[in-house]
Amino acid sequence: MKLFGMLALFLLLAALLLWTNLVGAGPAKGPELNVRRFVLPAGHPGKRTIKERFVGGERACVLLYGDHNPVEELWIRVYDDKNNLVAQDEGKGDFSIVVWYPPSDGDFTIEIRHDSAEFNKCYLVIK
Amino acid sequence: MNRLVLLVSAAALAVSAALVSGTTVLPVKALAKIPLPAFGSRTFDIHFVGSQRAAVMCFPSGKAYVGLYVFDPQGNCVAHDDIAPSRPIRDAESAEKYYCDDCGVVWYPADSSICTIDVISLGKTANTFTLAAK
Repeated sequence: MKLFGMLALFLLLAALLLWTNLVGAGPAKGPELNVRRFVLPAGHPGKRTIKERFVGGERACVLLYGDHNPVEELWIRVYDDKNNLVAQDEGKGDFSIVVWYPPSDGDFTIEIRHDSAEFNKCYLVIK
Repeated sequence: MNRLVLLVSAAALAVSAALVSGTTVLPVKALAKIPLPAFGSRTFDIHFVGSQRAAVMCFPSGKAYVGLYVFDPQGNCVAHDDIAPSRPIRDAESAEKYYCDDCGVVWYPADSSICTIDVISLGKTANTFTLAAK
């Protein structure tokens, strides 16, 4: 009987470990296709939005690297599916980053913006 | 008299709070094309001002995965990013192949201090990277 109890406990722990492995972090479709180069159009503000689905419970990160021609302030804002602002980096240089932890699986809108008469060739990473 | 002391203390506190706002001592500190030997590491000491958002980003050239670690003056790891996919990434727009070796961290330093940033190569190929702190 004691052996049966230990076996049940072992199976429960194994199931728990397997489950934690399955609910991994980051974009729901995995890391593929999430490095992008794009042109942020000139404007006041010039902006571009990207929709991405993230898996809940673990780290989500967006990195942005501008072309430094000229150096300007790049903003990142992340909104959830109810249009709540969940993360932002308010510029200060041609580099930006946001990190947040989605509470559950969901669609997020990533808004990249700047305020410039020049376009910006950006490098974006979603991980 | 007590009110005057209270007022002066409040003013001093407000000035102090204004002085310690911000993140790095310089608005943005960026270093480009820093060589990183295979399985080697580079260390940077950067002064961050307390209580507000601090961020460090690392953009390697794609030849090896890297890990980014931030240590406070007591040697505690306060932020790290060493998550990387196990296979190359293909850019949908340019059809180029990339390794997602870029990494970044955000944290809130408890007080004004010099933090140690470690960039560690996890690959057998020499690499270069751009580091930005803000």
